[in-house]
Amino acid sequence: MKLEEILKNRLKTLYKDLRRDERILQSNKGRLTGISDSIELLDLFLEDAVHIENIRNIDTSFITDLLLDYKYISDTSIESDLGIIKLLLKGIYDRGLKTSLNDEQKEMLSSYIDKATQLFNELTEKKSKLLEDYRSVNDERDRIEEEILRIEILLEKLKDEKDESILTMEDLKTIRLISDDKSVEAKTRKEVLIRFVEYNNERKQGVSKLNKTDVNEVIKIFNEYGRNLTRTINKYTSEVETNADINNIREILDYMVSVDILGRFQNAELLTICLYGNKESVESEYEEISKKDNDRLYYNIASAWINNVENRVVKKKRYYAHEKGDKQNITLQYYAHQISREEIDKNIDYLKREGFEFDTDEPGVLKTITTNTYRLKEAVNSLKLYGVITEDNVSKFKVWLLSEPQVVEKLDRFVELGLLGGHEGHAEYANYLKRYPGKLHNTEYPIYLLLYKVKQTYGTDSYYDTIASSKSGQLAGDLNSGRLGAALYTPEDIEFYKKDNFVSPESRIENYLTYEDIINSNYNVEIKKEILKQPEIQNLEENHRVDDNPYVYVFDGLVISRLKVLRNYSLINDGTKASLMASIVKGSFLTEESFQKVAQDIDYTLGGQDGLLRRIQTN
Amino acid sequence: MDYLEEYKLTKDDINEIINNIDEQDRIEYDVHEENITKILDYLVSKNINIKPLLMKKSYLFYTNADKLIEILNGINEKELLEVNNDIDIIDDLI
Repeated sequence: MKLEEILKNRLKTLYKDLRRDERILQSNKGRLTGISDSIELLDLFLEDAVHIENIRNIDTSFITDLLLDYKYISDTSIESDLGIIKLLLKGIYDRGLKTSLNDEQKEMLSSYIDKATQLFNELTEKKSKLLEDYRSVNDERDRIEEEILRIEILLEKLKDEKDESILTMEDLKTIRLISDDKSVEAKTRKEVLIRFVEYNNERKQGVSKLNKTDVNEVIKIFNEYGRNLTRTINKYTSEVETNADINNIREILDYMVSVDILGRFQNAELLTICLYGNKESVESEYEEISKKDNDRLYYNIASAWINNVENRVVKKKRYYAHEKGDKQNITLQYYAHQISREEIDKNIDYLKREGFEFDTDEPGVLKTITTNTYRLKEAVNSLKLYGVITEDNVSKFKVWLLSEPQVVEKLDRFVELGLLGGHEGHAEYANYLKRYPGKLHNTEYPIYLLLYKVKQTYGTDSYYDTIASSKSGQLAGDLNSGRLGAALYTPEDIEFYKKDNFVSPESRIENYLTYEDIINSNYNVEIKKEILKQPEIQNLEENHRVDDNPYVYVFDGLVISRLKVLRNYSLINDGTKASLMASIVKGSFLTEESFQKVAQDIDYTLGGQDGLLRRIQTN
Repeated sequence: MDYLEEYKLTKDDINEIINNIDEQDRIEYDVHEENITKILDYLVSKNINIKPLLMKKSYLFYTNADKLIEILNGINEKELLEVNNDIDIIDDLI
C-alpha cells in the first residue's frame, strides 16, 4: 500500500470513531441535562421541606413522578394522600385551625422526604459518574480530532504536486500515531514507517511524485453508473487528476445506487463528493439526511455529504482550500469544505427559533443557510439591534438578505448617510432602509462613496434633493451615473475617487491598521457596559448625542454611527485617543474637513503632514 | 465563469459581475454552471437583462432552476419585464 492509502484508511477509521464518540457525547449530554434538572428540583424541594409547614405550598407532583420513575415508591395514590396533608397544613398555618397531622401522616411525610433525599444522593452520584464518562469520551474525541487534523494536513502535502520537500520530524510524529497504535494491524504499523522512508528517498532522488488519474477513466466510471459528467470533469481536469481515487469513487457510487440516491445529485455535487468524500461519510450523512422532511435541500450541497464533522478540521481544510483556491483554480476543494451538514442544521434551527418563516426551497434560502453561522448570527442580531428586523416583520423578512456580507458595516453606513436611525428629520428617508431592506444588498460600494461625498459637501437638504427619485420617498435608481458628480465603474475609478476625496485613516491615525485588523476579525461584538462609563465616551454621550437617539453621534452636522463607535471601542480601547479616533472613523468615508472636525472634537492630534503642521501651529 | 460569454456578456461585463458579488456567489456561479445556464436560458428567452440580476440578485441563482422557472412562469410577463427598469421588483415578484 502507498503511504497515501494507509493514511486514507486511517482517516476512515478515525472519522468512524469520531462519529461514535459524537453520538455518545450527545446521548450523555441529554442524560446529564435530565439528571441535572431532576437534582435541581429535588434540591429545591428538600430545601423547602426542612420546615414542614412549607409543604402546603409545594407542587409535589414532579417529585412524586421522579420517585415513581426511580422506583422509590410504587403506590401512585401517594399524591392524593399528600394533597390531604397539604390541606390540613393550610388549615393549621393559614387559617389557624387547632389540629395537627396524625402519626400516620407524619410518618408518611417523613418517609417521603427521606426517599427524596436518597434519590437526590443517588442522582448526584450518577451525575458525577456520567460527567467523568463524558470528560473521558470528550478527551478521546479531542485526541481523534487532533489526529484527523494532522493526517489531513499530511495528505494535502503528499497530494501537492508542487511540494517536493521531504517529510519532516513533525510529519513523522503523525506517522508515529499509526505505527505506535497497537490496535492497528502489525503489518500496517511496519509498512507505514517503510513508506515514510521511501517517500523521502524518492523526493531526494527527484522521482516524480504523483501518479495522476486519467480523467477519461473517471468519465468512463460515471458513465458506467449512468451519469454523464464529461463537461463537469473537463472543467475541473486538474483537480480530478490529482484527487480522483478510482476505488473510492466506485465505493461511493455503489453505495448511492444501493440506497437509490445517485440520480438525486447534480453533476457538480456528485463529482465533489466523489473527489473529497468517501463511502463512510456519505453513508453516515445519508442516515441523518434521509430522516428529514426537507432532505431535497441536502442533495444540492456537496459539503453536507463530506467529512466536515468537526469545526477545527473544517476550518483548517477550508483555509487550505481557500489559500490555494485562487492560485490553482481548485474551486471544488473549497466548495467541498464550505459548510458541514451539522452547521446547516444549526443555521436552520437558529433562524426558525428567531421567528423567520421560510421554506428551504424558496429562492435565496440555500445561500443563507449555507452561510457561516457566526456571520449569520451577526447579521440577524445587528438587523434587530438597528431596528430593521422587528417582532412584527420577522416572519415575513426576506431570509436571503441575511447572507449579505458585512451587514453591520453597511448598517452603520446607512445610519451615517441619513437613511436609517431616524435622525435627520427627513421623515421619508430617515428610516429608508427599514422600508427597503433590500437596499442593504443592492447598494453597490461606489454608491456609498458618492453619497458620503455629497452629504458632507452639500449639506443635508441639498443631499436629499440630489438623491431623491421623482417617486416620493424613494432613492433615484441612477445614483452611479454621474448624477452625484461622478460615475465609478472600475476598481481604478473607485480607488482614484477615494484617494481624491477622502482621508485614508491609516495615514493619519497611529496604529490604525492594527485596530482595523482587530475589528475586522471579530464577529458579534457586544458593547461592553463599562465602555459607557469611560470619560471619553461620556463626553461623546453628553456632547454628541441628539435627543437620546441611540443610533447617532453628531459632530457639528456630521453623523457618525453611535453603535459602531461603542462596538469598536469595546474591542480596541487601549487608553489612547488614537483608539477612540479609529473607533469613530472606521468604515466611514470622511473628507479632510470632516476628519479634522472629529479629531478636534475629541482632541486627537492627527498624524501625517497636516497633523504635524497642526502640532507646530499649536506649539 | 467563461460560460457567461455565451450570453453576450463581454470579459469586462464578467469582471464587473465578479467585482460586485461575494466569494460564496463566485463559487456558486462557477460550480453550478449547469443550473445557472438553465436559469439564464429562461431569462434570456423572456428578454430579461441578465447582467444586473447576476450582479445584484445573486441569491436567485442558488435556487434549483426548475423550481425558479416554475415560480417565474407564474408571473405575468409584462410585470416580469418591468425588472429591466427596476431590478428590485424581482424581490417582491418571487
